[in-house]
Order: sequence, then structure tokens, then C-alpha cells
Amino acid sequence: MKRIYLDYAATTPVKQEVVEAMLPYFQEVPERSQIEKIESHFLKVLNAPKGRVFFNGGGTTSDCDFILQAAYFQRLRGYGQKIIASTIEHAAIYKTLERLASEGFDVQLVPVKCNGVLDMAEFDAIYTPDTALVTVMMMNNEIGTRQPIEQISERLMDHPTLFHVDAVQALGSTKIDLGLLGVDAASFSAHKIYAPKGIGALYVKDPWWYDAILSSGCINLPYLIGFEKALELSTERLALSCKHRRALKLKLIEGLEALEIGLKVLGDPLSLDAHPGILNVYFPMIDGDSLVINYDFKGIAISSGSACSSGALNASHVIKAIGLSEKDAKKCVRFSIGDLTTEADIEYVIEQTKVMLKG
Amino acid sequence: MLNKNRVVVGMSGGVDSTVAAYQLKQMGYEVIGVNMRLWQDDFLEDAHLLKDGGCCSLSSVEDARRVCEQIGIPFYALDFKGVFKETVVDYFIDAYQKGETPNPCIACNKYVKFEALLEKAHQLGAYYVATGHYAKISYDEALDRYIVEKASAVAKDQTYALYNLTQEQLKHILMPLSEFQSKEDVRAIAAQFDVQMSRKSDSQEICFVPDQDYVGFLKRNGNFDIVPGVFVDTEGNTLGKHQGIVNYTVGQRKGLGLTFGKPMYVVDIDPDFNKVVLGEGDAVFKSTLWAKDVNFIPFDDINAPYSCEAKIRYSAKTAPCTITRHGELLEVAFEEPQRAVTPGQAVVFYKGELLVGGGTIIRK
Repeated sequence: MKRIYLDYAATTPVKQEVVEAMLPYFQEVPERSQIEKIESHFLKVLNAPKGRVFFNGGGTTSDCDFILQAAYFQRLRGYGQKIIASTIEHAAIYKTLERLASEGFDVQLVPVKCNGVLDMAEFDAIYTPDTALVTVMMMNNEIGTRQPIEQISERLMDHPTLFHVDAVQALGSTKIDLGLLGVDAASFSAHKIYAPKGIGALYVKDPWWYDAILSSGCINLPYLIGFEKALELSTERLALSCKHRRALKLKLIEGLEALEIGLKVLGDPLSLDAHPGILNVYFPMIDGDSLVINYDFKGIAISSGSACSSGALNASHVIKAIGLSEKDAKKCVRFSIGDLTTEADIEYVIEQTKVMLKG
Repeated sequence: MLNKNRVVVGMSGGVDSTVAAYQLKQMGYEVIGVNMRLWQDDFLEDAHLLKDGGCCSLSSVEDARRVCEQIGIPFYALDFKGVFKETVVDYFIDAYQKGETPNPCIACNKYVKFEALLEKAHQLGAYYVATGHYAKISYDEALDRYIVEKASAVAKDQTYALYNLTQEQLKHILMPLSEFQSKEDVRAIAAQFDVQMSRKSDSQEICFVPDQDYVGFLKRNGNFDIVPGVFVDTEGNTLGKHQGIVNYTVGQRKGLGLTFGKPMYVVDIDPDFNKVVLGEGDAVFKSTLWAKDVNFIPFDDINAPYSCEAKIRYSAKTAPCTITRHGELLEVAFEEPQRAVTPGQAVVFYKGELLVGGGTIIRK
């Protein structure tokens, strides 16, 4: 059977060039200087004004470890107990914030508008200069919306609040200039940009208080080499890759809308600052999980946005956050387009959607 | 549109559903395995009390995935937590609050397995849903209806929990274990698969309360206070203090926390006055009961007193009785008094092997 992968936002296959870059390093004894060289490379590519990049097991580790340490550090310094996040963060952030809330931190979630973008008026109403930490995702993994990171940075300037950005989904899909973003920390993951799973990075601007010892362990050098290569490739080809994915996304939207089955696209997927590959669609006549299975029967891999490897499936909190009911949130699926997706793939998906839903 | 050769099987990873899926595959059906995510109890997961594989723990997903792989059928885990909470857990909590003893399996069959799962099956193009229940479903031409009969493996028969299925539901249900003569025969087939035989306990009565502490469950999940009250005798005399009505069920003798010098049983629970009535042996027997929410399978309703057999709980023996309609309610008159007629439990009617129907026992 034909297999079509449209779940690149979940994870990506490792590119041949990345594999080739990694291979020599599996049998080599690593030298500390190699890791330092790679770190400098990351800082340069991400245009970090100063600071360090710590390598670890992945985006989840980066998120959890930074947020916990930042919260404890701020408490130790005697700053406020308030932590602000958006209502559309990744589970890695929520689980960590839940724990902090149970330890007495005042966790506040800022809602997003129905287009999936953080409501800055609400943010201003909640933010106070004694806030310990703000964490906001740069690009949402389910609906692809870009968050107003620069605006938030402006608000926090001159205050002791630490600002963390989960840039896992943004890496490779938009230009990341840490200087312009003005953040104190950012999380990244290799497997979203065609490098292996099991390696991630955490940027920290003023790292004197951050202790990487528990999260970094012994660095997996071949994977790190792969990550570096993938970062280099994705930066080099960013414009081309975004253009490719945007064109296919437009084709998919047009093809699906032409079926006239009352579906709706969520967020603002055609906006230029949206994630180029992510498209979340509401289908009125069928549950998202049933649709995912029906696509699977046809060899098409997508996700219902809420699917998770543990089998714990809930209606997506992100989709509920943009105003859909629990019931409607379960009728949404996410297509995510990658560098290897072709026009023929999109045509096949549209054709099969027609067969499934129009008979 | 629906494919009569395609069937969705509810897979727990246990012996029965594994063999059900395997049998259907052997019969030539296109089988899709689905593990139903029903309930998540963070308290029990944190306390590691779900490690022995209650139906809701992660291990059952992995078990189900593994056996589907071995049988060679596709596998999916699907979320039914919302409908399960609304139709099973909320009902369960509500019943205890009203002093009743609920039967959540019956509600789960009616609303979750054979309604919500069936709807999913239809969305996947499948005409049928199948489970590892022990019961025989067939179409009776003379009656022009689907009927349910006791399974060949009489000791395992599960028709009690199926009495309120509708004709429309029965039309779309397959129960391939119906012809097995015993659980041993089923286990023999299951042995070729990597099934956790010992882990899935047959006696696990309430899957979402795997630690068996339903009072603890009610305290965590119920939105009401469990208020201590008094034990009274059948004359209304106070006998002592009870720990809240949810702790008791009709017929109970142990765990009352009192000694009387003679065996005393719970004979009634009065939610309005928060009282638990205790009586001696004969007071726990009743010849008549009333039932609501009645459903019949081989016919729509009775229009005259009807003689059949009935059982008043899953583990009870059937006993001869006559049933009579009184408006919405049904009066069930037994030839011999029955021990511990319990409001909230189901009374289920049979004619020999044939499942006639049933209803929910009420306090009257």
C-alpha cells in the first residue's frame, strides 16, 4: 500500500545528509572541544547575543528542567511566586506548572483569541513586574499560530521576570533570532528538523544560576553532530522549505474546501507568520479519531492533534482554548506537511478524503 | 455503506477479547482491534495501585496492542472517557448517594460498548461490534427479532448484563465466545498468544475501582459528603451509629461494626433519613419486588401477567416468578422469597435459556 506521511509536526524522518554526518562519530572518542565548537555554532546560527546552549535529551527535558530551576531560583531570590503561561502550551509545560502550583506557585494561564494568538490585553491584565517567570510557546504544535514573543519581551524589559520560550515547533519553520526575540531561555528539539530523537537543546541567556548537570548527562555526540547538521541545513534552506510547505498547504486547503462538506480550518493557517506546515481542520460529520483511522486504512498518517503514544487521548486543550466545545474539539485533525511531501501526496489525500466522506 | 464483513472488537488485552478477535479473524472477518480508554484515576496511578492492570491502566493498552499484533489485526486506542464518566461513573456515584447498589457493567454495555463504540465502528465502516462476552445472539425468524440466549459455557454466562440492549443494538453485535463449552477451551486458544492470563482477574467487579475500595472512590470523585447516621431495627429503634449509607448494601452482615449476639443483616437503606435498617435472617427475604426502566428482548412488552424465571443479581440463581405491568413499573412476584433484594441492582428475566429482559430494582 502507498504510505503518505503527513505528521511532520509530530516527528520527522532523519535526512540522508544528517545520517552521513553522524556516522563517523559513532566509533570516535568524543573530545570536549567538539561539543564547545557545536555550542558556539548554535549560538551563532540562532543569533544569541550572549549566553550558553546546553544539550540534553530533548524538548521536554529542556522545558521541564528550565521551568523548575527558574521558578526555584526566583523564589530563592525573593521574587514573586507568579508564573504566567498561555492556555495552549505543550503538556511538558503544563505538567511542570501543575507541579509548581502544588508547591505554592501562583500559576496563571493567559487565554488566546479565537485565531489562536495570545491575547495581549489579557496578558497585561495578569502580568505584574514581580512575576517570576513567563513561558510561552513560539509556534503552536497543533494549530501552528505564531505567538507575539517580541511584544511580551517588551513588557518584561527592565523587570526581573524570566522569559522562556518553547521554540520546539518553530525551529526549522521560521527564522529564530534570539537577539530580536529578547528571551531569557528557549527550548529546541532535534527530531522536528530531520535529526534523530533523543537530543535537544536549551538556550539560557544568563546561565550563572542554571545547573545543567542533572539534565545533560553525557552528551550523545553522534546525535549532536546530527542535530548540528540538521540545524545548518534547515537554516540554509529555510525560505525554500517554507515556500514548499506553504504551497502544499494552500493546495490541501483548497482541495478540501472544494469537497464542500462544511469543514473549517482552524487558526489562521495562511497567514505569513503561521507555521508553514501545520493545518488543523474541523470535520463536522466524523470524529477526529475515526478520521485518523480511516486515513490510516488508506495509508495516510495524520494525527488527531490529541493523540499521544501513551494511549491517553483527550480532546485537545489547544482547540478548546480557541473556543471549540469538547465535542467539536474531537472532530478536528492535524495535517502537517514536511520537506518530503509532494504535490502527488496532497492530491492523493484529497482524493481519498472524498472517497471516505462523500462515498 | 457499512461493510458487513468488517468488525470492531473491543480489546482489553485479556483472554476473552483476544480469543473473540482471533475467532472472527479465522471466520474471515476484517477485524479492527480497539482499546477503549475509559477512566483515568490519577490518585490510583500515583499510588501505583493500577499496576495489576485494571481495565483503565496503561498496561491494558500495551497488552491489547501486543495481542493485536500477534493476531495480525490493526489496533487503535480510542477515547471514551467522556461518555464513560457521564453514563457509568456519574450513575455509579449517584446510585450510592441514593442508597442503592449500582451495576456499572450494565450501564457500560448499554451506553459505552454497544452505543458509543458501535457509533465509532460505523464511522470506520464496520457493520459490527464484537466483544468477548459469553452470550448467544441470534435472529429468530418466527419472532422477526434478535434474541439473546445463555452461553454454552453456563458458568461464564454474562446475559445478566445484557438485558437492556435494543433490537437495533443487537443487530450489530457479534459475540463469538457464545459456543465455547468452558473458559478452559477459551484459555487453550488464548495460550498461543502472549496474553497476561493471570493479570486479568475475572472477579474484578468494578474496573474503575481496581483497589476494590469503592468508598474511597466515592470520597475522591463524588460531590457529596458521606454523613454518619444511625442503624435502626425494623421497628425503628436505634441500634448504633453507621459510617454513612454508602458503606452498606442490602444483605450485608459483616463490617457493621456492631455485635448483637445474633446474626443481623442490612434489610433496607433509607437515604431520606440517612438510616440503615437491620433485621434478623428472615427479614432479609422478600417475595415481591418492583422494577423500573424495563426492557424486553423477544417482544416489546407484556400485556398480561407473565410467568418466567428471574435473578436479582449477577451471582444469584434464577427463581420462578410472575411479572405484571403497572404503568412504568413492573411487579415481580417470586414463588419463593429471595434473599437480599437490592435497590439499584438489576432483576433479569429468563425463560429457560432465553433472555427475556429485565429492569432496575427500586425501593418501594
